Amino acid sequence: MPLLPRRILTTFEQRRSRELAIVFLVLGILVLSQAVRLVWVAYLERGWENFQAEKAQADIAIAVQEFGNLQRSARRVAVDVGQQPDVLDYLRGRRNDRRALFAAVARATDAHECGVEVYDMDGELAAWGGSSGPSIRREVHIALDGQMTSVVVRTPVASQLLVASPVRTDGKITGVVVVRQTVELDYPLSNRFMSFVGLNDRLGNQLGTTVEFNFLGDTTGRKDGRWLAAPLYGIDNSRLGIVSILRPARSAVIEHLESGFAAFDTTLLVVLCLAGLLPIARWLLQRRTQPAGAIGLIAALWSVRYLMVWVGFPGRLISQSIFDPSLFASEFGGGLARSAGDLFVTAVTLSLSLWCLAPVTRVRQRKDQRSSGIVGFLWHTVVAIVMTFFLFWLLRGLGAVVRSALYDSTLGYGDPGIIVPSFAMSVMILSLGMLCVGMLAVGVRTTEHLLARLGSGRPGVIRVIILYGTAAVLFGILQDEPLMSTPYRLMCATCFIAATLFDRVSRPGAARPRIGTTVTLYGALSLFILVPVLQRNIEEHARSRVEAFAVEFLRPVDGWLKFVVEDGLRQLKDASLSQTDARTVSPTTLKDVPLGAWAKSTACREGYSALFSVLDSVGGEVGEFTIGSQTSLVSPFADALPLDSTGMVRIKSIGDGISAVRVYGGTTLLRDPSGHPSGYVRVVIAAGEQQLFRGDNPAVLRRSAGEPIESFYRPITLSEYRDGLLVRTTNTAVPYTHTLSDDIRATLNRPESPTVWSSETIGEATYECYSIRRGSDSHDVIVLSMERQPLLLTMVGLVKVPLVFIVAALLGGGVLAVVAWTRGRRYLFTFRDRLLTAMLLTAFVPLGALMFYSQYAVHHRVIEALSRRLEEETASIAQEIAGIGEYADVSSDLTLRPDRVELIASNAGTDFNVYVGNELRISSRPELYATGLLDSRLNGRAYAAVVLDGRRYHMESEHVGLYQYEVGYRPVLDAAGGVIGIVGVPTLYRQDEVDRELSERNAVLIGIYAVVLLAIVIATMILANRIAAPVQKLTALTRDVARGDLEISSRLPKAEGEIGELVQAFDAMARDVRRSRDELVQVERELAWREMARQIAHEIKNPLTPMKLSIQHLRQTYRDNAPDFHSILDTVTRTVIEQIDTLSRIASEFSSFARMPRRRVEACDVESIVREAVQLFRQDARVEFHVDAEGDLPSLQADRDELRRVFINILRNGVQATTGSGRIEVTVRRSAKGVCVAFRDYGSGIADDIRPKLFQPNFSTKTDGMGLGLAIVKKTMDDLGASIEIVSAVNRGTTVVLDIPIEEDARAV
Amino acid sequence: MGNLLAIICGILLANGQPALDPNVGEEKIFGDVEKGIAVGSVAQFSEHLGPQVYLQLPESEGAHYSANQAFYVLDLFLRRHKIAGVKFTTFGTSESNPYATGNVAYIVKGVRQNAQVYVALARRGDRWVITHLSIY
Repeated sequence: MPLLPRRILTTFEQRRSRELAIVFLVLGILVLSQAVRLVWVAYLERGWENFQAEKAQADIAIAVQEFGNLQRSARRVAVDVGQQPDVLDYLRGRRNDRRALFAAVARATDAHECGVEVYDMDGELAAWGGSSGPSIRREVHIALDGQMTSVVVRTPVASQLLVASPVRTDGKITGVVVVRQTVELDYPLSNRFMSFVGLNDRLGNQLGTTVEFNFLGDTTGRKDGRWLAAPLYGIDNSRLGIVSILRPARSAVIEHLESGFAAFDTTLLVVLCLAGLLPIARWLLQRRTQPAGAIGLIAALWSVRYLMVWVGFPGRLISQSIFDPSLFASEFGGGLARSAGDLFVTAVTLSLSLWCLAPVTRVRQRKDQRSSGIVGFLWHTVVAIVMTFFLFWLLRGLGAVVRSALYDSTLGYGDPGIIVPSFAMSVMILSLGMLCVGMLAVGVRTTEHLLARLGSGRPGVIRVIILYGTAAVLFGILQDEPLMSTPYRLMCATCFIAATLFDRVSRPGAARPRIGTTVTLYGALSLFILVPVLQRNIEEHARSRVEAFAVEFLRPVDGWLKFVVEDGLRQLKDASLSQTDARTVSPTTLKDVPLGAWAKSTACREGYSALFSVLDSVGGEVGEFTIGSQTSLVSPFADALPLDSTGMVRIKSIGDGISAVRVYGGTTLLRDPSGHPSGYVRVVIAAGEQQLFRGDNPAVLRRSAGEPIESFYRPITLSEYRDGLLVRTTNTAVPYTHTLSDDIRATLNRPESPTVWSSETIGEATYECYSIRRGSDSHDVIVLSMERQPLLLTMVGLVKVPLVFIVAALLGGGVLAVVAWTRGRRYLFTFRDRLLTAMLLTAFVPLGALMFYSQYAVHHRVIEALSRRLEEETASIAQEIAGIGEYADVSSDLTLRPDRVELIASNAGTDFNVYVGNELRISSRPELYATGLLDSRLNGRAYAAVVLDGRRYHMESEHVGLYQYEVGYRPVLDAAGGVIGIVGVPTLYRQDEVDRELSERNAVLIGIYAVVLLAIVIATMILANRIAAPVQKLTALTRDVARGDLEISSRLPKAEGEIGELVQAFDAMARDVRRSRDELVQVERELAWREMARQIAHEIKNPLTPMKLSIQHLRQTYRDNAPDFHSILDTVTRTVIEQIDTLSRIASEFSSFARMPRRRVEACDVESIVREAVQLFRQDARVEFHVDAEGDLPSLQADRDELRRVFINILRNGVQATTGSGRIEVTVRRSAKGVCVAFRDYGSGIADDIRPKLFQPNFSTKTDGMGLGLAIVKKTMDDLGASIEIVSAVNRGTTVVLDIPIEEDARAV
Repeated sequence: MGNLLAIICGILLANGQPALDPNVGEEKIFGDVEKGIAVGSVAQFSEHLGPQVYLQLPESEGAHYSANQAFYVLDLFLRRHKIAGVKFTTFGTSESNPYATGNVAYIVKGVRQNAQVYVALARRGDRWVITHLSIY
């Protein structure tokens, strides 16, 4: 049942007030939102204390429950593992196969991402997997006694939850399963690889407050009134720790609430404006073909756009993904492109604006300048020049946008390693694509106008070419920054001309442009416009990056590195003080302090080689942490640093040239809470010139992965020259005898040119070199070299651009198809579509399969090569370690001095670890294990493979967070073949190279396939078009024949084979039908003339009878000498005269119908004749006339008056059929033959039984008239060789369509 | 008419550069930066941003940004982090590359956090520009 009376609903529908309803609805929600906000804020203000207390209680309950959930989850895993058949069998003693046990444990750790350990009934570790931790013998024994227990243990850097679950078999306890799960990291070492979020942060984000879990034995939690604490209990109800929640602050809560409402209100405001503009937009859309309507629409569009900019919608609300300014942000337009998403919206708005402009900027009439006189000629020329320069100015604007897309973004467009672009990059490319299509459309329209002014035909085209060429050259000369090269401008001009001419060639004979072909052409030409300027900007951007690196290289960074040391000292001092303040000072506690302080410091974030240490009051080491490749330089410098309370940073430079390393260090005094000096803290860092004074630790070890020089996808190498001779270089391809060219030295010797770009070929590679002098001349020169990308890689890097275009076109087509389907319109798959689809599927499916297989093969080959390399490296290291037993520096339990470890690692060229049993004993990178980043226990699967299976080599994939790397394992065997240890060689520090190689190979592979696929698509479309074209043409001709146009012989398509036979048969059939039609027409004409003659005879007989009777009566009265003879005479003569008039009128009408007047044939503008005829009826206020004529219509050779009479007849019928008020629409379009004029009224319509008789002479449904109007129209059309078609339905109106040929030859004689 | 609108579009599309004053000293620039961060407005010092600025901010990775991009990245940071106070405590010159370091406090989710701020300048042509800005 409707909520409102039907009368009101109907009224609403009639007045289209759905939009109004939306406006009021949104307004209502806006008002309601404000009310809710005010009420809520008032509630918070009044009842804040209750709210705060309730929220804090609720938050703490959630935190306690979450901790409980963790325990329950770990318990479930432990119980599941304990019920595995392999585990039960082993613990029961039925099987002694530890391999199966290890496999079961590995499955559990992979599934649940936790550490799992299985202990036998003696409490000995039988199998393990995942992360390790401190020994938990006590908990294992408790579990062996039959009680499940949980505990939180501390590692140097983390808190681990352990659940120990007894395994029962036949009622007896046969073992224990322990599950380890890290709940908290004590230092914030997280980067793009480490996605671990501890309990504190996870719950803090969820609850919107600060949460602290404390497992250190603190029983009271934070003693601050702002905190609320609750105890934490284990599975066995033992106390494990305490959780503290910061009570919410009123200002923070209210601020959060306000910002939420502000975002909601902003969205509603935008929706309100859109809803309010909708009816205006609808009204304007109906008037889009008029200038005022078009401008109004554009104004509305840009009003909405700038409203969105003003309120910051949606960029400021989202600020992520494509609205993140760190990906792209430019200031042009006052905020139109402050993110990739904003640029996309602006591009859409611009495209819609151009769409609105299209109908009003159409060329209406060709003005031939030759007929306009000298003044007209000059005027047209001046206008043409101005239009051309504006066009090139717009092109320059496009160049600025593309340049901004490179320079104002961090997206790597040219990186060949990125084949499938990210969402943000795809949006950027799509935006640029839309702008290019818009540019092309503007260029085509401008070219059309220029051709209209400068003359059509070949001379006009030549003039336009000359004009464009001149403008392209002049623009480069006149502009300081043309933003694109002259050849590129010329190429764009060529695209404009080509698109315009193609449009003209494809138009004649077609009622509408071929949409699919037009879209493809515009898309392809847009690529031609976009790709070259994009590639050029990529090259220039790469150069500017090199120049930026060079500036950093030359600029001393003492200030920055001093800051890093000072920051480290501050972090270390704060950490040490907090430990002493908690009165938990112990050697163990302070020992871990340097690691935690390092992890929070700038040195960690930037990845510098660093040493952090805590010293006692006499300089003795209490705790120390070192990391990085330069520790051999850092440690001696640290030892030499004086103990200083000032915190002054000292600097030492070691080495020279590009190999120089600068070491910075400082110490500061540490005081205890009572203010007495208690020790010192010391920080030392090192940075090399080669790395541009940036950190060189791997990204996985940094808190934030910055931009080391190696991450740039075109690697840059450094070379140093002294007096033109190569001193040192990081480029192994440069021969040691290489010299700096004299030209470069001469250029650098000039005072005004301290830098110079050059190109150099070394070996098979070409490099772009940026040379910088360090002094005032070329004595000391640094060269940054960047290898030029091979053309294949460049093409591969740019294949993402057409890929985005194609995907966008497919998505757009899909959306349109869905919309059409929901509206009940079905897309009819044509023969061409089916052919194209079949050919594409035939090509794509096997090619796609081949591509995937090739990708798999490439990956497999790279991993195989890596495995072989690891195999060799592990063999070399194992051999060296096995042989060390002969030397005195190896103790019996296989330990090595650090310098020996470093020597072995250096000789092998890789890092390595050595395990004894499952414990890490030796490592060339001990800091990785000290930080807890890597587990120091041997991987369970590796142990099973090497020790249990006896394999000589095994490779395992391991991971640190999201970062995956490979590790090769090999046993170290003694002389008797016994395993004394296991060597592990991880690719952790080299994985970036492996990943890079893999991605480059994949990029080339996928790029080649993408290019091949693209070529297949183009070739297939061309082939499908060629094959389907004759069929499509035949289909169109069939429709023409159905309409009555049988003169098709000249338009038949050329074809061979079966289609050619079909064409011939069709032609023969059309000729037969034409002959039959002509005979039928002749017969019908004869019949019509006979009928007309009969009618004439009948009509003539009608008045003759009364005439005869009257004369007879008169003669009788005369003979009878009737007394009223005179009156009778008067009556009779009157009667006779009337009948003679009737006869005369009949004769005139038929004379008009049958007359073959002398025609005055001339060139007629159909549109103007239509408008003249319509004008005659505009006096009738009931009927609204609407004339829509296409521009650039051809002239017809016909009698102007005759045509006008035809139009008047039809219009009169339409007006007479319209009862009450109504509308008559007249459209004038090009047709296949010439011009098509359609008259549509919304009157009473024509019944089906009447329609066949419409053109019969003397047939009329009206009470007056002779019924000859349409017959006259038909005759005129026949004489012109035109066709007339009437479509009508009762009460729905009538459409009369006239199709008039241009050429006289087409007309019937 | 179409060309008039095209001109408007071209003006909107074309990228422009603000006018630059070469006579601004480094103290003024550091003062502008301090003031801008304090009030949460990048516009206070955006004109001093160099063509390439190395930015490092909390919860994001460090990278080189253009001046345009740096403006919006900093603007986003200052909108998300309510600044409670900022003060440059140390000024230094490192062979004609002046820098300033100091402390900044901001509030996120009602919790006050402290960080260090580092700003470094370099000469570009005849004026000083900001080339490095770190807050963490």
